[in-house]
Order: sequence, then C-alpha cells, then structure tokens
Amino acid sequence: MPQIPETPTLPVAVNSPEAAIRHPRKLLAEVFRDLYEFRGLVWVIFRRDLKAQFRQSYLGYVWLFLPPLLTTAIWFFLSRQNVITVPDTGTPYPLFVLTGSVFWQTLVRLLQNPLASFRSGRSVFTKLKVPPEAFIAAGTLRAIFEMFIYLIVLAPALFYFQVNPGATILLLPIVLVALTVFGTAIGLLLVPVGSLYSDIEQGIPLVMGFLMYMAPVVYPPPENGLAGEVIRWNPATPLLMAGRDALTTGETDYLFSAMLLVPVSLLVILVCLFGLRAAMPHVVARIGN
Amino acid sequence: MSESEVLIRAEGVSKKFCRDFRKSLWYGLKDSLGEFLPVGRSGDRLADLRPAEFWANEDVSFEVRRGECVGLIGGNGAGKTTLLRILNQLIKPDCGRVTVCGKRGGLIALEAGFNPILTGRENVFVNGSILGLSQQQIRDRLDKIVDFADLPHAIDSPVQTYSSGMRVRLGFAIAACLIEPDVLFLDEVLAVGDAAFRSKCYNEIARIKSKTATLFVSHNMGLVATTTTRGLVLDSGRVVFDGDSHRAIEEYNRLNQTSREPGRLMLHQDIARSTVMLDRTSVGYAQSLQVTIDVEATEAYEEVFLDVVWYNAAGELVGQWSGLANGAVESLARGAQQLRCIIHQICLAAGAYDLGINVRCVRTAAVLVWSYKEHRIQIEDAPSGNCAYQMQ
Repeated sequence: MPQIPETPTLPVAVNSPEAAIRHPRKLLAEVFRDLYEFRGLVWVIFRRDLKAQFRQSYLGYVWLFLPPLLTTAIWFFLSRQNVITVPDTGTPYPLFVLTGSVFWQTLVRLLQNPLASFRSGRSVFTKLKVPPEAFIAAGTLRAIFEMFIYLIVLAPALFYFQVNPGATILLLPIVLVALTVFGTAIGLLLVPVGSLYSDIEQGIPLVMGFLMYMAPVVYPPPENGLAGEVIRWNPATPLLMAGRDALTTGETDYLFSAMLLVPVSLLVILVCLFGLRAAMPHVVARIGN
Repeated sequence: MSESEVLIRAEGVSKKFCRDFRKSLWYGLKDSLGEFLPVGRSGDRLADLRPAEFWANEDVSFEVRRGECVGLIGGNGAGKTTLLRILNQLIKPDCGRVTVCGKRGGLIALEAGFNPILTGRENVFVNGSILGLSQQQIRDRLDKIVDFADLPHAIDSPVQTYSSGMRVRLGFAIAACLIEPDVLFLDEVLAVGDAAFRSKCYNEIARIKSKTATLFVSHNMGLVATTTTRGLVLDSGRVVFDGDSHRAIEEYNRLNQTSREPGRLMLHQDIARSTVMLDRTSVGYAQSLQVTIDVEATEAYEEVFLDVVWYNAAGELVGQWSGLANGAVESLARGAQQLRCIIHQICLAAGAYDLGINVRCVRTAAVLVWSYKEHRIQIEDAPSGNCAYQMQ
C-alpha cells in the first residue's frame, strides 16, 4: 500500500521576552546552526570585500604582498648598513624581525577585521534576519588568508638566509591554530563595544603599534628588568616565540604556553558568541534603522 | 498543507521605545545585561515604562493564515514597522509572544548588501547569499533574475554605474526570484521603477503571496484595498480595528479626520472679502451640488471662472470641476456680487471629500479666492470601492 506522504512540519520560530540565559545551550546551538546554514554567505562576503578592495587599484592583488616584502627590504637594508645592533638572536636579525612581524601583523588583522566586517554589515542584519556572526567570520577568514600570504613571502627569506627549519616546521600549524584562536577571541571581545563606539576601530592600530614593543617582535625577550617581566606575561609572547622557533632554530620552550592559550581562548569565544547573540535584539532595537 | 493553517500568531505583544537617544542606549545596555540574569531584567519590571519611554506596540494580538494578505495600516509612528521587526525576530517584545511558522521572507532592504564597485552579477550572489541561498541555487536562477530586472547589457558593469532605478530593479528582481517564503513581509517598498516594471512587480508579488501568509504595510490605501483581504488598523501602538479591508480603510480615514488640518481661505489683494457656501453637506450618488461665492472686489476682472477640486480622505486629488472647461466664464465687477456654479452627476465612491474652491482669472491665471479644504462633502448611498470614481 502506498504511503501517504506526511505534510512537512514547518519550522516554528517563537519570539518572547524570555532572558537568553534561560537556555544558553539552545542559543549557542542556534548560532552554530546559522553559521553552518549561512556558510555560503561567509565565503561570499570574504570574496566580495577582497575583490572590492583591489578592483579600484592599478596594482591589485600585489598590494597583499607589498607590506611583508617592504618590511623585509627595510630590515635587510638596516642590518647591512650596521645601523642597528641587537643582541645575538641565534638567527639572522632580518629574519628574526620578519618572522616576528608576520605573526604580529596576523594578530593585528585578527583584531581589526571582525569589527570592520561587522560594522560594514550593519545595514544588512538590522533590517534582514541574517546572522551577524557570518560577517564576523568573514573578517576572521580574511585575516587567516592574509596570514598565509605573509607566510608565502617568508619562504624565500628562509631560503636566502639559508635557514633550514627541519622537522620542527611541523609544529608551525599548531602555533598558527593557537594564534588564530587567540586573535579571534580578542577580536570577538572587541566587537560589542566597537559596534557602538568608533573609538575601538580607531584605537587598534595605535595601541597595537605601541604593544608591538611590549612583545618580542623586533628584539628578543630580555632576561630581566620591567620590560622582561611585561613581555613574560604578555600572552602574545609564547605565540610569537614558538612560531619563530618552529621556523628557525627548531628548539622552543614556548610551545606548551602557546597551546595553553587555546582552551582559554575557545572559552572566551563561546562566551562572546553567546553574549553577542543575546544582545543583538537590543542593539538592533536601539541603533538599527 | 491546509489553506487555513495559522502561520503568524501574535499574543499580547508589547514593545517599548525611548525618545531620548542617550537614555535609549543606556536602557539597551541594561536590557542586554538582563539577558544574563535568569529573572527579570536588571530589576526593571518589563511591564513598566521607564522615564522617557512609551509603548510602540501595546497588547497586539492577531493571527494570519496561509493565503491571507493582511494590510497593516496606521499613521506615522503607529507601530507598524516595529511590529514587523518583532515578527521577523529582529527585536524582542517586552511582553507577550509571537509565533511564526515556516520560512520568512520579505521585500525589504532590497539593496542592503550591494557593493557599488562590484558588478551586477557579483552583487546578485552577495544579495542571494544574504537571503540564505546557496551558490548553486543562485546560479540556477541567475538568468531569470537578469531577465526580470531587464538588465542584460548592464549585468557585468559595476553597480555604481547604474541609475537608481536600475539598482532597485536589480534588488527587487533578486529578492522576488529567490525567496520562497511561507510568511511574507512587505514594508512599503512594493513596486519600483517605471510603469512597465511596476506592473511586473505587482504580478510577481501576486504570485508569491498566493501561497503565503502576508503582512503588508502601506500608506497607499488604493493598494491596500486591491491587495489585501483583511486590514489591521494600528493607532499609537494598539490594534483599533481588525477585519474587512474596506472597513479598515474607513476606520483609518476616520482616525485621520480627527487630526486633519483646519481649512484655509486666502484672498488676492484685489478681493476685499469673500465667503464660500455650499447648498448641502451630503450628496447622494450621481446627484448635484451648488457652490455659491460672495465676493467683494476692489478691481474689476473681465473673465473669471470657478474651479472646484475634490480631495479624498488620504489627501489625494480625485476629481475636478472647472468653469473654464464647462464654458462658465463670468466677469467680476468692482463691488459686492455672487458667483455660482452647479456640479452635476457626482459619481464618487462613498466617503468624505474635502473641497478646494478657487476663483481664477482666465488671462493671468491669478487665484483671486482660494478656499482650501474649508468644506467637506459626505457622499452617501454610493458604491464603496477601491477607486474614487465609480462609473454608472
């Protein structure tokens, strides 16, 4: 006997004043379901922003490679002219700076991009039911993409200075994951306040430019003194050092600390995703029009 | 799926807003933090208004079934858009709850995702993804969209080179060709572009809404009358009427009347005094009306004529009687006199109409007497319909 097809039951959406904390798991599940459902949108926004940035320029995608290339050139020039002297780093100094800047720049972009992307999508998700997390994710994806571009530039530099990372290069992916997760957590933390006040967006380059000298980017971490203490407690230090060591010397004391950052950052990400989703209706009600 | 299934249900929905922007942001912050407290929101009772707050929606309850198209009508700030945004889950109600079954779709914010530097084709994919479709689904319907928007030559040009008309056409085409909702929200943006494209829009909307539960917000009562099966009248956030569209429009017009602007009488410098009189205040269908004007002129005019225009309750011009067209040109002597005209066969739909009555000079077109909405005529025993002019 042929089966009578059942009428498909429609999804039911309920909107009530109930506080989000009542069902935190349900809300988080919703966030991840939406992100999966709108994964196409994440990809489309990522490509849209990338295309739009370079379409109106003559050099186009060359701009992506220029910053790390220029950094290398400058430090190469400076070290050749003996303008600067730094304690022995165990690796050629230009390479030391270059690896440091690559990881640092990635971190900066991980902080900047989600917020910029969120702000650019505001006109969409205040009018249409679109998960704002899709815009944030597109920003993070963009930062990861840029990280790989920087790493590509790094390869010829390693070759030039005849540094052979050996098998420890296999540790690099672990460090990159830790860096991405850490950067995403901080980037997400900045979104709620940054969406209301433009101070955050304007302040990031300034603050990060300052913080760069509080981290082992252009010089190795000092053994003692206040600077040494600050750098020791800077959460970015193990990421920078472990990443650099994996690429150059192959010996690192920082891998464990770098990996310790992952679970902490993941927790922060979950809390931020929950908070953002819970606050969205109120943000839209107050600023969305 | 049965025709009568309820897809939208609002139960006692209330939402408060704040007129003071700084307080509003502060309340927003408190409400956001309240999401983390299991009971109440940071000590504020949801049912109470805080300083500077008002109810944008108050105790709104209704149901919409599949196949129904409900017009949401009311003056500016009556709470129509707020209600739509609560139903679309963009904002939370402060009291009550809404339940929406099935996929929601809307012809709202048609150009929201456009990036002007990208081509029309690329923007189709951006906007399509915003509507929740996969790349493949969009690719499958790309031809249909380009065809509907009628932009075959411009689709590979950057959107910044489009005229505003072309942009909205593309936006509408994307939404109309891609959404397959169970619940449809239409907020004012109904038909866009030139006359030919608008008729295409109406057809497309009719196709979509035949299968959905539709909520339609508009100030165009003609559209509400032709498009909807039921009307919901909102006034200061409350539902004051829920029922037949025509009666809803009457109710809306009645609300508007109480707040209508007072009439005015303006005189040319050559006119010392004037009074406009009608022989009745209500006219039966296809009956006539006599207009008499007492005028005292300080200058003589050789050729003048009366011009009577009719405004419907929405303030739209719907009829005219012109002395010039009817060969009723008179002369205006210095001193006091009466001008008179009779308007025959007033075939207007039932309702209230305001009159604009002018005395004008033929040669210079100068307005000598201008009575603007001083008089209101009620048309009675007449057919009620979507159009002001009801033929015999």
